[in-house]
Amino acid sequence: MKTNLKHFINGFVKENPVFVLLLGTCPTLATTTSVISALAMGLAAAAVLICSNAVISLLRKVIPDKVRIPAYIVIIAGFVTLVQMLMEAYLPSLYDMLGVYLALIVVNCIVLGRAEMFASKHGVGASILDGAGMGLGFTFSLLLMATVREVFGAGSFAGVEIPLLSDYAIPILVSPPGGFFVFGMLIAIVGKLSKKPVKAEFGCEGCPNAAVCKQSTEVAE
Amino acid sequence: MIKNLIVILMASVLVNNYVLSKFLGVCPFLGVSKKVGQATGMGIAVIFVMLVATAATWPIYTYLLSPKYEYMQTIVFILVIAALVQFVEIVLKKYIPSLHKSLGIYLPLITTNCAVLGVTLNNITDGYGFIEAMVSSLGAGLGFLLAMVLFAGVRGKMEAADIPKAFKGIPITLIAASIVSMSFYGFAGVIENMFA
Amino acid sequence: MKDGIKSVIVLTVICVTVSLLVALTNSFTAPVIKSNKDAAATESLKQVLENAADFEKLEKPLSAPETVQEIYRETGGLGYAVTVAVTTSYSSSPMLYTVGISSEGKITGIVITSYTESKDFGKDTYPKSYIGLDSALNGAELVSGVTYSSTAFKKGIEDVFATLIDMGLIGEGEKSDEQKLKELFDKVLPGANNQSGTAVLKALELDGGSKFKNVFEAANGAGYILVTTDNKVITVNPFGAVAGYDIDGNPIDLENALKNDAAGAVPNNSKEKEQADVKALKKLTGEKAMFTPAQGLNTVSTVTNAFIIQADGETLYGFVSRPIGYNNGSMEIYGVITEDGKIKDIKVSEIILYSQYYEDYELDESGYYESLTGKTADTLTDEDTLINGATISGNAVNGAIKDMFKAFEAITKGGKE
Repeated sequence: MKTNLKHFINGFVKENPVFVLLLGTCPTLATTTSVISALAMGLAAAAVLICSNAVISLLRKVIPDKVRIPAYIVIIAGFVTLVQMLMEAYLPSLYDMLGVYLALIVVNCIVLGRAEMFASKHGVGASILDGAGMGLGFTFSLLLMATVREVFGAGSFAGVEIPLLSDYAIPILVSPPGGFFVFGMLIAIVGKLSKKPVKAEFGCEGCPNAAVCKQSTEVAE
Repeated sequence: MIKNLIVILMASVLVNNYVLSKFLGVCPFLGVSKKVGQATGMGIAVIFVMLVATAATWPIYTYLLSPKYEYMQTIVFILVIAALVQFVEIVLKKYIPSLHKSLGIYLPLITTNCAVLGVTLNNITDGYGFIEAMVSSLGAGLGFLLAMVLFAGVRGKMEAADIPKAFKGIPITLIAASIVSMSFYGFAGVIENMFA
Repeated sequence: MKDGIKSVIVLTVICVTVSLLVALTNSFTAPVIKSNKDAAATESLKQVLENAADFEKLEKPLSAPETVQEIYRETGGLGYAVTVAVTTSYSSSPMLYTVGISSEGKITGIVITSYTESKDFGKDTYPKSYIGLDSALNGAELVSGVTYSSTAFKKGIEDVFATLIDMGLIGEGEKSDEQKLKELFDKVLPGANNQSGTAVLKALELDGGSKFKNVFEAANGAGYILVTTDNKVITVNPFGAVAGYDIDGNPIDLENALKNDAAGAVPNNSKEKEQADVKALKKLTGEKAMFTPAQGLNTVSTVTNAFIIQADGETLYGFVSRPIGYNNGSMEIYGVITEDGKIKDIKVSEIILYSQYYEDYELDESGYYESLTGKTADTLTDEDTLINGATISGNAVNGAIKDMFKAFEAITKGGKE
């Protein structure tokens, strides 16, 4: 049980997918313009992550090694579609807010990465906890970044205007350049606080393509 | 018609640049943009895959999925793209080894590149016809290439700079990306006034 | 080999299972999604028509413009809501909006459901200027910077009104007097219109205690427009002929006193102009020709002066026409027509060329005039006056010559007052 709990907490702090592992940058930048969309994105991704982790871990002995990546992709895409449909039906305004980024959870490195790195090697219980930890860690990071962007960029929190700040909002923070900027600042701060050197490389260790990626970079050089 | 296509092309290259304003394909943008040569290779491979992917997914959606099986869109698209990339790699390896040598290494990376899936999905959402969809994909790819090459140049300069310790590596890269993105912000009004 | 087969089977099973699961969920969610979308559609209908209870969809007439999507009637009789899709040349995805129109024919609300500008620039401002307007759309704004979409937007609203009026659901809006007068100005003095059909006028100062609230002089001297305090429109042509119109543009008879007032209210500087025109025309007819001004012509055109000329025992007719050409500039065209209605000579004081683009372009003037000589009102064609690269000027010359022929006819066939 203790190790399981460790799996869960790992996702929040030591292996925070966004600020430490630097995975899933696309949705991190795109959906953190408001707290609500960040929360929705984080929870949607977490749901997909937990479900796909569970199923992949269940099937890990059945799926032949050769076709594991396509099989994972199909399973993940299936869950993404389920989430898409449920959201469109019951949370239509959030569905519109997230737009194409919801479908793009399919290619989110975190989901495929956890399938490849964890679920395919561990039992169902541990995989679910890992998925939950990673998913909530992802949600938490998105929330943190969205809070910074919305509070200072739009002068509101979850749509509620903050007096005084709303008069001195810095709109560029909620625009694309602001996304890059806030993300860079947060990584620097997290690195400074954790007193660990920030990853020097934009590595894709969690990514199933990591090996190819590294090789291709080396070949090109 | 032609005017319309030019507008779509310029809009997706400059105004709605996939990397800098939609954040699609940020991973390779930040990961593979250290050298201009590398960035160019990756960019060209992406343009190629985007065009092939659109040429395959648009007819599939329009003639097979729509209107009854629209909900299968995400699953079908990602599978088609993955299969296509594999297929293209095999063909290149066998018949045009020289091209495979220069582009092939980037191809596997592109399977899970959200820009490729994103552009095919966006073409459907925007209600484009086949030619418009192809032009928009070309624009998205060109925009990706442009952003990659520009950013590779910026990173080259950055290596010589003295950067505060906390910002070394990823943080300064992101902040530089922020400034490049800001410069693309200036294109916002271009399209509206292009033919005015 | 065995591995390969197993891989294919496992992958297929996974694909099929996932597809089935997705299809199953879809059968639950699809109806919910559909009812959501319908609710959202009526939601926008309710927003544009305050206090609306329920809507019924009306059959769209086949003749309706393609911008008009769906027409709904409020069941309580409050009015109508129409969904509109307009395409702008800027974007291939259309701009969608819903317009509410009360049964009195006034716009009650507009909700934009999809906006195509890259920035939402203008979205909140210009549609507001339409609220409360009727089909006359008096006061609707076009916004620079988002010209494409605001023009398309206005077009869509006009289509909605046209369709509803066509279906006999609402009455046509009353245009304001201001609006009507402005439109009338473009009709009553055609000689003062530029080539896109708008009158180029300048307002004159009025003497105190006048019966007229406005006096305008055509920028090219093609006459005057006077507006009486009770909104009658009176024109005075360059030869002093007076005509009257009511506000809807119907000709009316004027009392003589009013006619005299009108003629008296406009400045009289014809003598100087006449002498200048005679001087210019003498270059075409020779110095010895005798000029008699043609009096009281009632034509309303670009012709600002007309003369009967005796030269070498021949009777000729000389005309000066001042059409408005490129960039609203006034041109001067001198023409001499023989007794049997043929052009004897034409001279254009200045052909306004499209100067930015044709700085180096030189018109072969003598060739140009030669091709016009000998033409009559019946044989003159548009090609004769065409100036390559200066279409507006060419059209102006063409109109001027046609006006001269009309004036010629008026003089010779007793069109005098």
